[in-house]
Amino acid sequence: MTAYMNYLWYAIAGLILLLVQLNLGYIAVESITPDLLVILTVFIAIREGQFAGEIAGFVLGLFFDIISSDIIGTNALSKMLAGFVAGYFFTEGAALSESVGKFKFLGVMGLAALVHNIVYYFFYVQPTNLSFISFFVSHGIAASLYTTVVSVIVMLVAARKQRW
Amino acid sequence: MQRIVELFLRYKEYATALLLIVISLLAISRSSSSQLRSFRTISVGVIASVQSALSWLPNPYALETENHALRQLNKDLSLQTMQYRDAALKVEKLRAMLGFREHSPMKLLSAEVLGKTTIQERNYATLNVGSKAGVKEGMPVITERGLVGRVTGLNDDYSVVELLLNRDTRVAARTLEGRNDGKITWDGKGSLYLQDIPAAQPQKKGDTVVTSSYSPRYPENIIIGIISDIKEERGSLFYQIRVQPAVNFATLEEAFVVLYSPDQSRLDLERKLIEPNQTGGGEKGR
Repeated sequence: MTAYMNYLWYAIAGLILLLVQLNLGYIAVESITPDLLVILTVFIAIREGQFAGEIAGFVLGLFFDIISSDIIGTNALSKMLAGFVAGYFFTEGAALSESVGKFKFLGVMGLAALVHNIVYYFFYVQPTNLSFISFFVSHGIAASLYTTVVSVIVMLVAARKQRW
Repeated sequence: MQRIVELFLRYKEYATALLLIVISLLAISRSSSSQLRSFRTISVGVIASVQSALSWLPNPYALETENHALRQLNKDLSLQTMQYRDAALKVEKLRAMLGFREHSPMKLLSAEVLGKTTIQERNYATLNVGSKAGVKEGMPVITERGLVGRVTGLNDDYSVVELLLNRDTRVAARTLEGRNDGKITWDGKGSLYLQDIPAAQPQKKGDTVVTSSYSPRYPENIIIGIISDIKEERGSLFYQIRVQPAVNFATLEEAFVVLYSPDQSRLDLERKLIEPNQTGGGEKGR
């Protein structure tokens, strides 16, 4: 599979996940939903490197800001930083089962989701009287955990793929 | 120039990150600009049409939220209906009392029942009017339906009413149609009895029992209740007549104090001449 084909698949996956992310009420727990776009961003960063990860995070975040009526730039910035952080764990030439199909992927995902939520909720609470710390503790950590838990599916699927 | 490009390529991740951070922060600061708003309007319209096309898919979360909201609304409306019903009943009751007050030949003082007991052997009610409002001990208390009792104690602002449902109750009464005089007592369980009606005189179930002029304590013709049962006991000269009180003491919330004082000279004379010779049967202390 060529690199261009990979990027095409990422774009298709991104478009689908953008629509799915808007309708995640099905699996909301106390109004907290997993961030599928962060999972994709981290996946791209680990598979394609830091540069691709941060660009993917920015583009996905920007699109999500536009279609979700959020403050434009908040998701772009937070997802870009998530991709940037996840990119540090990129290993060139590593197989999918090695880079994503290991528990290390969950650790990277948790860290990236945490960075994403710190930045996102920092901007989220600005126009309100909410305390950033208390809001982050009650929502940010839970959302990071939920995202990490959902990414287990990606890890398990990747672990079964011997070649990609 | 080439060195700059090489430097950029070497640190492209950081340079790009920096550039994207700047772009993001600029976008955040200009989030409400009109250009972005119009662009967003178009994109939201497109997304909305996609979502609308997919709306046939069942959404359990939305249904659950809607269900929850409807249940809450149902609860609120039920509560509101209950309050309206209660208010309507109260209005009806007050309207009846107002009409009664306007047409009553007696001078009445309206009062609110602040508290009452109806399951003891001696039952009392507390009214929110006292001597400041002109209430005196012994004054009858009534509703538009009939006799409630009489004031037995009071201070400046409150008065205590001894209800008809009281072991000490003795009220001079007569039947409205039969014109037979007797006295009303309470059996301590739930029924009023009209006593001292001779078994020789025919009585009718459903006849109204009112206060009689034999008692100086009450104005005559205040309704006490309706005859609900008549029993003729073998070997007794009198009927056992059960009277259903006209007033529902369980739902008593408002009442009138009749500003009526008994003729003191008549009371004094009766006390002086009759009571020492009485062996029971008349009104006790009334």
